[in-house]
Amino acid sequence: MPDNFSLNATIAKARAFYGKRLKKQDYDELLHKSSVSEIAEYLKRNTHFSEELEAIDTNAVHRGFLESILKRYNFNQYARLCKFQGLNKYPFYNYMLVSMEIQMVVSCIMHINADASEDFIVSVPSYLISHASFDLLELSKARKYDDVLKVIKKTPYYDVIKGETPDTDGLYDCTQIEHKLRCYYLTWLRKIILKDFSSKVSKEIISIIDIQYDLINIINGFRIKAFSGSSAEEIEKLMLPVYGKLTKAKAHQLFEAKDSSDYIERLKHTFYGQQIMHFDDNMTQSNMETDIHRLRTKYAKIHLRASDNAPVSLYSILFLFDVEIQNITIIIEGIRYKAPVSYIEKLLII
Amino acid sequence: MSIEKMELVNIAGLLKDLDNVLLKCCDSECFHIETALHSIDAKRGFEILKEENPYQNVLKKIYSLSNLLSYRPQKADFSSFEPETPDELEDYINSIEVKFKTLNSDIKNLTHEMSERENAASLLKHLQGINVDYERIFSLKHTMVRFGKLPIGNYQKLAYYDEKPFIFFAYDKDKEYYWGMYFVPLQSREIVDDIFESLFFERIHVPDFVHGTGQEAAEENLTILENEKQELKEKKEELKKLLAENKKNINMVFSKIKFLNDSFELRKNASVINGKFYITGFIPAKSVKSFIKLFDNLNDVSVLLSPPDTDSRLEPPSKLKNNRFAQPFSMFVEMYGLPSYHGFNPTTFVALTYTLLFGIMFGDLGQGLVIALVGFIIYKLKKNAMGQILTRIGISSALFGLLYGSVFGFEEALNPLYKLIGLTEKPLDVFKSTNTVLIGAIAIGVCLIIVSICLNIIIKLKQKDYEKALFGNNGVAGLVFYASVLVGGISTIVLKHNLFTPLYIIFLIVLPLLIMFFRAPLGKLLSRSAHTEDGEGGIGTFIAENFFELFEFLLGYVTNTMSFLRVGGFVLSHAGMMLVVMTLAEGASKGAAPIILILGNIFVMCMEGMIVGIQVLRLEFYEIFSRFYEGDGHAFEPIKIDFDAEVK
Repeated sequence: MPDNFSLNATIAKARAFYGKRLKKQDYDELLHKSSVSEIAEYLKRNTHFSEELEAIDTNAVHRGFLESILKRYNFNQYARLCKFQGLNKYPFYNYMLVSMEIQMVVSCIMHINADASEDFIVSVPSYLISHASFDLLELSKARKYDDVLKVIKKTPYYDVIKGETPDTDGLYDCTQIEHKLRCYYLTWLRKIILKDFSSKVSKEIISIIDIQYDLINIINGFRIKAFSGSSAEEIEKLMLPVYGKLTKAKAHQLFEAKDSSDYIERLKHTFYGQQIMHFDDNMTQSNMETDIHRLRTKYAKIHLRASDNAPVSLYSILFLFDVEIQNITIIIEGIRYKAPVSYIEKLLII
Repeated sequence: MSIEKMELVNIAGLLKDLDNVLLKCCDSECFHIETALHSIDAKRGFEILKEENPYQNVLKKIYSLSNLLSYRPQKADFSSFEPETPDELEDYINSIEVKFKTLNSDIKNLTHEMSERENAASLLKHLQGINVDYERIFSLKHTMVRFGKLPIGNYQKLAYYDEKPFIFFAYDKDKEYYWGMYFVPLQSREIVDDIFESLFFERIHVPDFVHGTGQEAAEENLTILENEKQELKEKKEELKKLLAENKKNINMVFSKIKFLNDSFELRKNASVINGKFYITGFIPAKSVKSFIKLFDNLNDVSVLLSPPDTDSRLEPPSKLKNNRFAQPFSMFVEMYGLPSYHGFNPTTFVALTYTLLFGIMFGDLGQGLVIALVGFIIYKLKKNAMGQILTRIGISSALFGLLYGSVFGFEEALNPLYKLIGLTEKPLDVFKSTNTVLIGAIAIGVCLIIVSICLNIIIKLKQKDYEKALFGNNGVAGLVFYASVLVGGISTIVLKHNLFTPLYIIFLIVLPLLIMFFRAPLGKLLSRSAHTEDGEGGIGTFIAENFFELFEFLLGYVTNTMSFLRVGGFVLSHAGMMLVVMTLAEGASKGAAPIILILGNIFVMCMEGMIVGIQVLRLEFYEIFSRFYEGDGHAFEPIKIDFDAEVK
């Protein structure tokens, strides 16, 4: 691993990428476009996506293709950053690939459950095919659970989900499978971080991962409470094994909420709730998830700006890349369905 | 070095004479109108004229016609042009438009067709590999064919659909796509079309005019495209000729419409009551007689003149009055901000200091003369103020070049001249007198700062702002402090005579500091005005604020003085850069040396000249202006009709 001082180059590069991201003015412009073509044209002419969209005919580009190009661009940025100082040789820096592979496995199983396995191929990102540790095209040919296991046999995911059995309808519990794979992912990530980095760097990167996953747990907990009213114990079983600034006890108190409104009220008394109140003192059920994502983004920006550790910078910038793509996707969808500009604007994380 | 004296003018008359009055004001070229908003007295029943301009639409129409013809109309004499009303003018424009209609339509159709052929050319370029006649492909009865492009990333997914009934042929590849076509049996076309749609296949329709094989179709298309380009060129020539024949009429109608439109817009500056209008404005005092004479034949119009400060709601505009030497430098003053009407016109001061400082920092006889010559040529060709500035600073630079003994970097070229006038060597050898240069630069800075402070004292005394004139950091207190510290320092360090006695320190350093600290209450005491609470917090806040302000003043004295070191720095750097050029020339071959000398001099003149110009301006604005100048005036802008067409 290059020494910390040398890795300053990666930090500088990550920050340089951050400087090129879309600004509020860009989002304002995009919000006032009236079609996918106009959005594509704006992105092509005025943003850092221009080179990526150079060969695209913005008048004819399909919405889905545009989104896939933007995601591909992000992935290539990630690959560039990792390759820049040869960091891709170190397991930690492949975390994004691992995460995407897990997403593919879960998505495939969901398609099988829905009897729509033939449609899975459409959702496979083409740029991932050559990078994945298993054959994604073979995975897209899977028609049953055993086919999936066959494809991932030589990967660590096999051992995690090989023991799953279908229910009486022949369906596999995707929530459970996803939970197991995510837990595996987090355990693997922690292990790799502790192995690859010094204790100071490990502490910092683990702490930001814990924060990000705390917030994911809060969102998931809210959704479960809102849609199924499950008990705290049932919710805890589905939470990721991460406790950052939301301790186990505090999380339990939160999950003990009577209903979703009570959940929000209890959230306001947690560390993260207090942080959200700084920029939105009117957190409600309808805007809670957006607020959480805003908080996640805020942390990512702080860590990118303040940290002098390359893994932290990389982790943060890749998160921010994702947020940018999500914003553009929200705008595209909003314009397609002719949603009011004010409504779309509220969903953006800027 | 002053500001043009103004007179406040109030014009009143019957509403029917308003247009006439406004036109005369425009013709005078010396009437600065104040908008009715500033002078209106709504309580007494005055109103602003709110009328829709009837000429706006017809102005848009003439612009639209001009855009269509890609022609920018010019000002023309329209005295013989009869159409007057908006309808008449519109009819006239329509009559011109009709002449161009057919030709424009032809050009539009041709352009559209060419665009289609160009798109087709782009497609056919990618499909040249097809050796089968397109018509044969399209005539297949049981198989559908789809031309288009498939994203490269999704091309690899085609393997997944091995069992589906289609074949995809790729004929070309670019950065993002495979260009080709797929064949599918008629009965399976929907399923396969869905598959390709999910892979973001972009279908491209091959135009009906495409015939033959890939290569043949591409060639035929290109040939037809070339012919159409030629035809378009001819049509455009025809259009150009027609335009030339009608140019005069277009210019006339544009000028008339612009005139009527803009003069109508001026009506918004009038306030009205009971069928009468009132206009307020300013004219230079020297133009009063000629202005009044304009209205001699308008019996129902009265023109009332009064001193410029009569109406407290109105701030008289500023028009700088400068001598010939300083006039071009008004550009810099305007850049910073015009002085208020009662303010001080610093243009001559800027002219002198700018010329002096530039000359010092860029001293070279040859380069200075070249700059002066270039400035002269620019002024002759473009009548640009920058040209005049270059002439002046070039001459200054040349004079200082005589002092430094430098001619295009040749440091010994003027030695015979010096010997002739009895000097053994050049008056100032820059490299041998580095300390002198730097100390001299500081000394110049000190002088300029002291002069600036003195100017501020005079200006503020005239404005009866005693706080700033006497007690401020740019007032008497500041001057005493600054001068005392400098004199004491020079005397102690250089002359070895310690002036810093207790009395000296108390009365000339500490006392002025205290005065500056308490300048606000002292100022109020002197002007006998009631003490008002300017801010919150009381004594504690007052002390804290003024302590930090005092610190800022002290820091300002030091930094502003040190800032003038750059004057010396640039003297040295200029000499250093020319030394580099000389060294390079000496090291080069005989043939290359003159070229290096010329290019080197050009490079230094351009680059360093520009940098020095900017640095001097910075010194003017920051170190000098900040001491005495407030550019809070607004410009004198006489009303006129602008015939500059807004055609893009």
